[in-house]
Parts: sequence; C-alpha cells; structure tokens
Amino acid sequence: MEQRQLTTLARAVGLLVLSIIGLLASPPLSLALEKYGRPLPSMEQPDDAAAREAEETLFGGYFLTASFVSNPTFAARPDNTGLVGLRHMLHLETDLYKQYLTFYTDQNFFSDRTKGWIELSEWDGTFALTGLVDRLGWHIQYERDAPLDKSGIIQAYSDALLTSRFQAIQDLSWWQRTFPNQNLTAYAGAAWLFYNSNYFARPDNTGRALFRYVAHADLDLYKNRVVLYGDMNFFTDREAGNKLNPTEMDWIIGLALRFREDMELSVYREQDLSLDKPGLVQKYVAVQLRYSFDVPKRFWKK
Amino acid sequence: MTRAISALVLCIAFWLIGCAASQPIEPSPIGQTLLGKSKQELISCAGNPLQETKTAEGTVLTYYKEAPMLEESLSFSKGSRSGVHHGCWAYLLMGDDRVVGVEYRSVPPSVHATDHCEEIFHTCVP
Repeated sequence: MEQRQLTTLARAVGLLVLSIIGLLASPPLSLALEKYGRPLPSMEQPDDAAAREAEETLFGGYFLTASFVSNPTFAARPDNTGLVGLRHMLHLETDLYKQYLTFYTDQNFFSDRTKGWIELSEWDGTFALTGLVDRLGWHIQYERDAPLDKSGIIQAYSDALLTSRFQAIQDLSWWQRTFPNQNLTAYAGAAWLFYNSNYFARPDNTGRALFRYVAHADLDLYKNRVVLYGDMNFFTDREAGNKLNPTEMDWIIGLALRFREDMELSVYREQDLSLDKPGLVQKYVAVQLRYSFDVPKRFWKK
Repeated sequence: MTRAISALVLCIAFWLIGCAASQPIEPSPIGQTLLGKSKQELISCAGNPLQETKTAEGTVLTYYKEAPMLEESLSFSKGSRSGVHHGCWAYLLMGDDRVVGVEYRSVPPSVHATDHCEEIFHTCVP
C-alpha cells in the first residue's frame, strides 16, 4: 500500500474526529422533547421519578453466535495460529448510576476451523466501565485475549477511550423531514492504552499498541429493523518513531436485519491490515445471530 | 480500497462540519394524531398506561418504552462497544375523557429517542 494513500487516510480520519469535536462546541441542540396540544403539568415529583426509573433497564445483554463463512486469514489464537470457524459471545451490562456510569463485560470465544470447528481455541474477556455525558462518551476497559486449547501468547491491555456522538435525526432538521424512518448515528474518538502486555500494533503481531483511534457509523435504513454499519479502528505503535501515526487499521462493514426486537441476523466483513509496512492481512466474512435480553428495574424491586 | 475508505470518511467529516448548528426537532406524525382520542381508544391500541396521575389540569397517563438492547450495543470482532441505555416517556393529558396534550420525553435528554414513543402508539393510527 502506498504511503501517500495512508497519509490521506490518516488525515481524513483526523478531520472526522475534529469535525465531531466541532459539533460538540456548537450550541446545545434539541432537547429530545416533543409536545402537542395543551401543555402538561410538571411530572418531576419524586414519586413519579421513582416510578419511571422502575421501568428502565436493570441489566441487559445478548448472546451471539457467528459462523465465519469465508476466512482465509483471521487467526484463531492470539499467537496467530489456526483459522476461526465459529464465534460465541455473551455480553452483559448494567447501569451503576443512570447513563453516567455503566458496567459491561464481554466473554468472547473462537473455535479453530482447522481443528474441527467445535473445540474452542481462544477466550477474550473484557471488563469495562462506560458512560455518557451529553454527547461525550467514555470507557475504561480491560481486555485479555488468551488461547484455550494450548499454551501461548496472552495479549492484554487497559485503555481509556473518549468519543463524541452525532445523531442525524436530532441534529439535522431536514433529516427528519426527508427520512422520517431512517437515522444516522456516528461517533469518533481516541483511546490511550495505558497498560499493555503483549497487545500488538499490527496484525502480524509486531510492535506494541499505544493509542487507538475509532470511528463508527450506524445507518438505520428502516425503523431500526435494517441497519448498515461500519467501524474503523486504528492502532499506533509505542515502539515506532512517530507514536501518533497509525500502524494498523481494522475495518468492518455489516448489514443487520432485526426481525424481532430481541433478535438480529447480520452479515459482516472485517479486514485488519498493517499500514506502515507490508504484512499479514487478517480478513473474514461472518454470518451472525444475536439474541438480546433486558430486565427492567421493577423486577428487582418486586 | 484505502482511497475509497478515505473518500467516505472525508464525506462524513465535511457533512458533520456543515451540520454544526442548532436544529429544532420536527414534529412526529403519530403524536399529533393522538389528540382527541378517548382513554378507551388509547387502551385498546397501546395497552394500559404504567401510571395515572391526577393533577389540577386533568389526569395524566404515562407510558414508557425502552430502546431494544440490540440498538444500544454493537458487537465487534473480539468484544463490543456499549451505547447508552435510552428510552422515551410519553405523557398524555386527558380532559373530558379526551387527549388534550401529548408530551414525549427522551431519557437521557442527550439522546433522541422519541421514535420509541411513536412505537408505543403506532397501532393507534389508521
């Protein structure tokens, strides 16, 4: 890949991050409040607030299983051996304090298609605190990727991520007029890997990651039933001359079909490639089924 | 491939720059049509309210809908990135057994979620 192309890409991502930060600096946007007819009395009495809170989520999550229908190079262990066949993941999250502080964990497992598809070969565990203040999102996360069927490299890191968020239906008056059943949600930001044990800076397991730049977009094509999404994740290398320059780019594009509120079928493609020198490109296409669950606070109070 | 991705990212960036201005929310079509409906009509299409509060101005019926978890969190290759839990509270002011006022309120306020209030009443429109 040419250096010029990579520079253009890095500048483009930088501009995207800056433009979203610029949105933050703009005056407060709509209050996500709509009124029709006569004005209502204030509903902010303490009893009402408690009743409303009881309907909100106590904890929720989802289970997913995916088949890597095409996988020429995506490795099944942190030491880059094997090829992923199946993926299973459990995600759990709970609000600790409103939207400002949420805990979540992901337990992600891969199997190796070169060893019969079923036996699990890698376990990735993530524990994180996350939250949202107005448009600013943040998380502090610990991730540990370890082999399961044999000993080998364990990759682990902790990072602190800051993102800013954009919602077309809220931020653009013409959007809702033109696309009443569609929405575009995007966020971008940067993270610092303040702890790193063998978490590499390229797909070929070289270097050590220092910073991460993320950009994500969900294009809701129809009432959150059909969603096209894309995600980009860049890593920099703390051992490189320029510690801010991305050395790895991981991108995903996918299409999700939600045929029930709690069930989703998606197909997505991921490619992880080195940016500063030729190296291993890890890529695959997967078909995934996700089933979600959600327990409101009133169940706990009963 | 890199050029195509760069072009896409640049387009999104310029678009966002162009949007950095305050914008009012457009009214939702269903909220307007609830005005004038009777309590019985509401219950038959949207179910029982979570709460009924008597006030000096009239009775307020309260409904809530939380966004589905699939909308709030997305998975990636080795984990996920959580969104924010959000939902929409709908308050309907009744006067002489008719809806005379409607208010949709997103929680948290920084996330637009009034579309979930629309979902509560989507079977109430012909």
